[in-house]
Amino acid sequence: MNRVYKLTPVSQYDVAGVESWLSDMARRGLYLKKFRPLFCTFTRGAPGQIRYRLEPHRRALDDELPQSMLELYKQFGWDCVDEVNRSLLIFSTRDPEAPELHTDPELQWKQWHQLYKSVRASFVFDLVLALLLPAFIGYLLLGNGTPVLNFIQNSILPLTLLEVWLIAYLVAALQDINLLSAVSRQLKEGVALDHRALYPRRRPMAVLGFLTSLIILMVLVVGHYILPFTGSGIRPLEQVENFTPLSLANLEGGEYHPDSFSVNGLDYANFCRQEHYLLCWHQWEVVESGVMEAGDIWVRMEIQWYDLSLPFLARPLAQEQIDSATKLDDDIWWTAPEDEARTWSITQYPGLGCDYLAVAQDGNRTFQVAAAALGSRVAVVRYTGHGDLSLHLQELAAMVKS
Amino acid sequence: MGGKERGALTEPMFYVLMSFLRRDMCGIDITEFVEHKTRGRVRLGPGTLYTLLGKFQESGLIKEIQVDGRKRTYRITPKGRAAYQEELERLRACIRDGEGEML
Repeated sequence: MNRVYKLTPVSQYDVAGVESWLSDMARRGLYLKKFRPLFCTFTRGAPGQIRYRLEPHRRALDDELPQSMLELYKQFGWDCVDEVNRSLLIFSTRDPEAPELHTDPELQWKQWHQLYKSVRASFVFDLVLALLLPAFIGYLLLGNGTPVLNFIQNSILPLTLLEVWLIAYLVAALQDINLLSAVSRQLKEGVALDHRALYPRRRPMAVLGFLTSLIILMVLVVGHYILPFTGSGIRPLEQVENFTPLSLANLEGGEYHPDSFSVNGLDYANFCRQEHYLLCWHQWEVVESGVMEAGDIWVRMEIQWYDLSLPFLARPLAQEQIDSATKLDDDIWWTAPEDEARTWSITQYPGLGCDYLAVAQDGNRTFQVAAAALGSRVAVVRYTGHGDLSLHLQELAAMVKS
Repeated sequence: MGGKERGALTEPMFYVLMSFLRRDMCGIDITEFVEHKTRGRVRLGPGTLYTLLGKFQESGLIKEIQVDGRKRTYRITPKGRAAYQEELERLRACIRDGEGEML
């Protein structure tokens, strides 16, 4: 069977437009096989005169097509060609003597008015969604005080695109509501529907816009939710790639020896882990834990390393992570004594070839944070121990240099 | 659709209900009856007829009694006869009122 695909030039709710277009296609030997809002499928045949009519019909998900309706229409010479969105049926007839489907506009009005109300309700639902979504995006972005990191790791970008797409969809839906409102009004006034009208030859921007936004949205959503799972699980420290991490042994000196918390061969006290995000293709988490022989004191270092797709976010991310770490509740820090007053000093170190390099230390220098940014790379170190991060600036800078 | 909540029947509704008074009817029979009875003044498309039959069934004025292939046969119910009688009385009253004003 010779199939032909054509972009749909009119909205499915432009009754006269759809009916006219389909009849014109039949005159060119193209017979409707499948109607879709964006493009339709036709089969090729000899040119013919066919009347097409749209009939509203609401069908729930598990409902069958209304056989009694189809059979009755068939008796009058009308065949059901297709169904659109479970809300419209398209009938056609080749018989010039077949009676028009409707002879009572008032009765017909009720069907179209029901469809109008249903589309309007759906519009209101989408509108509420479009209004709530920015609030949700705002919450995701600002919820825990690290908007740059949230932007990189959370669904901000896909959801923002979804919002843009939703707004464009609402604009199109508003046009559909206007079309259905006009149909409903005309029938309520007792005026039969027109079956012949001028229609645009094509609406390429609408189709292109819809397809483009849908594809981008799908890529972002899939990319965002699939990519993080493509990173590795927990791995030994030696398997860190992309950069050379600062070493806890270097920070602590000779009395240090690594701690171990092994489960099924995996050391959860000393490991590295890689994740991927659309806005951060390589992210590494490196964790080292150990004890000092003198007094068996537990020490720990955690490095978060990012290679961002948007380099202009690198410096803000480094600054944000320094600020954020100094504001964390005490119990987030490892071994933090309760109720201990803590003051932080943040020192920046320009001139070491980084866009940003800073070390934050609490008053007792028990807890320290360092952040470095250069180009698209960012390294954030959180450290609880006896060393001094400010004495390891070259190693910190080296983590973000190629 | 019986009694007060129904209101007046439209002309197509009235004739469709009338078509069931003497015998059970199916779709095509109904339209032929109505066209014949009204000398072509009232025509019923399948969409209009389907909607009417659905409304009448929903209101219990008619019921489906047989399905034979594509052919579905319907029968008027006592409630349907009462509704028809009520509409007839209303129309008679209309005519009496109208003619009374002509004198």
